Amino acid sequence: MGQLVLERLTKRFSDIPAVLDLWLEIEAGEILSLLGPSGCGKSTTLQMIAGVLRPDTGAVQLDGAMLNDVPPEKRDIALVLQRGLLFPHLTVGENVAFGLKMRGVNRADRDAQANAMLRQVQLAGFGDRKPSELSGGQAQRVAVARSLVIQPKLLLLDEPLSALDANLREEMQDLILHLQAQTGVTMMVVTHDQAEAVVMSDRIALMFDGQLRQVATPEHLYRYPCDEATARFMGGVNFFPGHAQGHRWTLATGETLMSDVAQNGAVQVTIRPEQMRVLDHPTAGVNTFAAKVMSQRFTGTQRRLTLSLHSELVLQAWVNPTQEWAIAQDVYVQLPPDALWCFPSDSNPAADLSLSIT
Amino acid sequence: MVQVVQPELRRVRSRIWAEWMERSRPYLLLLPALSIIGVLFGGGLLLALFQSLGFFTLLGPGELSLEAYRAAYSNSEFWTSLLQSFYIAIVATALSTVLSVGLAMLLRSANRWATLACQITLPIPHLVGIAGILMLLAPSGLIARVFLALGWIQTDQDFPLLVNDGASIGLLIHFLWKEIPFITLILLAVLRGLNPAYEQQARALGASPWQCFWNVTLPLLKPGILSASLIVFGFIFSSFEVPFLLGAIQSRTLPVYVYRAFTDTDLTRRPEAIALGLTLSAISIAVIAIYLWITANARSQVSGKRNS
Repeated sequence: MGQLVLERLTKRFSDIPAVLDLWLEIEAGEILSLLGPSGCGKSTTLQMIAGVLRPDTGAVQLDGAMLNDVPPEKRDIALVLQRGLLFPHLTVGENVAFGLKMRGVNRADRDAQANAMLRQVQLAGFGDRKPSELSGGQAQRVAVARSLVIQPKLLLLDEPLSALDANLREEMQDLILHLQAQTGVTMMVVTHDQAEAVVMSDRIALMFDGQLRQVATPEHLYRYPCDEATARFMGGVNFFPGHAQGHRWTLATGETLMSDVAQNGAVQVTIRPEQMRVLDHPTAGVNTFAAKVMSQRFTGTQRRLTLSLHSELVLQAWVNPTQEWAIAQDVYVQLPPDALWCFPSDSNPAADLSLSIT
Repeated sequence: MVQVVQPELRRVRSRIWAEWMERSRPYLLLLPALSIIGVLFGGGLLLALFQSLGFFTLLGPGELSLEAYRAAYSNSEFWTSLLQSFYIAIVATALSTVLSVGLAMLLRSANRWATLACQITLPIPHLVGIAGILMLLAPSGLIARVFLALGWIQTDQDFPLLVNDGASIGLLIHFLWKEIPFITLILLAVLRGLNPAYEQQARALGASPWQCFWNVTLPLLKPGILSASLIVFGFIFSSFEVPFLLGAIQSRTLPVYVYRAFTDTDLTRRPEAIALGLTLSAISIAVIAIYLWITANARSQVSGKRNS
């Protein structure tokens, strides 16, 4: 129940493609995040799935049934929007019961179901309040309850947590994941926040400029991004041009690295900053270089070091926050062979770089 | 003890004074404008009140009596014209509001030209509209002549009476023609300011377009509908020139009745006319106050705080 297939979905707004030729499959019960910078077409995609926007071409299928000509109210797809967007003229209870009322459920039944749902989102007893009396987090929980009470096959969430502050956001993530596990509803989350996408989803579909760039598990996206723009969007900061000959990669600045992955030709080498090891004494491991600490920044959970090698290659290493370093201190940096990754340098034209700065 | 308390008292007193100044500041700033209105409007009202009570009439200083009011209310024509005023104001307001909601929904996604075309009547004065209605709908009007030329009617007497008629058809047509664009304009502004996501959300939750309109769009429009219809009701209820020129000969609205009494050649009827005028004002204010009171709750429900 709830397998979604998008086939060659395309939507143009006055000839400018907002979504172009999008193919995507979501398994029943899966949580998939549609991730991308603002304006990449992810909300447009969501609106086409919900049926409030018509695709120019392509198909939306749910459990094998073609949805293109099905009006939104008959799709079994619920929508949770940013800020909850509760109907201001209805009470919290009436908001939750709205979908049931539209389906002709009688008052007693819908009140009972709405109250049960409110209990599930830990808002028992809030039924008689007005939306204006709720905090942002409470409103968002009511919005989730309102969507789940109609037992949809697919739950769409459009930037559901972006209006909440950091603590509340984690609480809501837990609650949404908990409710998803209980109901088994297929879920699609649209977000521009890669950290949120990583925490919440089984798979992430990364979207740039109306087109899907890579669809993979969060871990896969972190470790094996398909190009530089993807890597940068996932928080990558180290990119070095070089030349690969099998497992032996030579950087433009002269360093030779040994990698677990084999590649040939001109490449862009990358390594996640948190996978680098920084030591204050020489070590015998491969890919180890003497370096100097140029600057450091303490973020609470990390210490972010900028290191410079003798060849003037500059890299970022995010290390254990408890170990202290001095500016200009001589250190040794190791790039573990299993943490190195590269993509052919042809595959990331300059246009991609501009995308990643968001 | 006293030495300790006194400075404290002084501080409290000066703080109260400062707060009072702060609170009354806007009123003090309004005072010049208010005093002009007060003298011209309030003075006029006061003078009218005196005259209606029998003082300073055209026929001498007089003495206090409620004779004018008694005479005014004992005349059955007062009651029929009051009824007529309510009938016209209620029917015209209700019809134009309902039609405006429909028109606003239709025009909602229309381009600016369609919107503009519908609002072209807004700057046209009532008198011009009245002249137009007379020239079109009177028994000697354009439509009657076209019907006559086409042979659909034999004489202009066969044409149904649509102006100065008993059912006030011409009067209602004029008010609809004039007020629908006005209410539509207000509702369109409200509609365009409405977040379309509310309706998308309703649809996704299972509401058909019709259910969505009744359960979401209309309630969100309610404050706009209430404000617009209140203005229109107030205007129509106290409108003079339109019922004077287009209304029925037999059943006058209250403002027309008041005007007739005021311009009566019998000067002894003047206090009665003034009493009627004051009564008309009092009814208008009372109706609007009741309307506001009834709708205050509905208003605060929607236009209060949007959830954020």
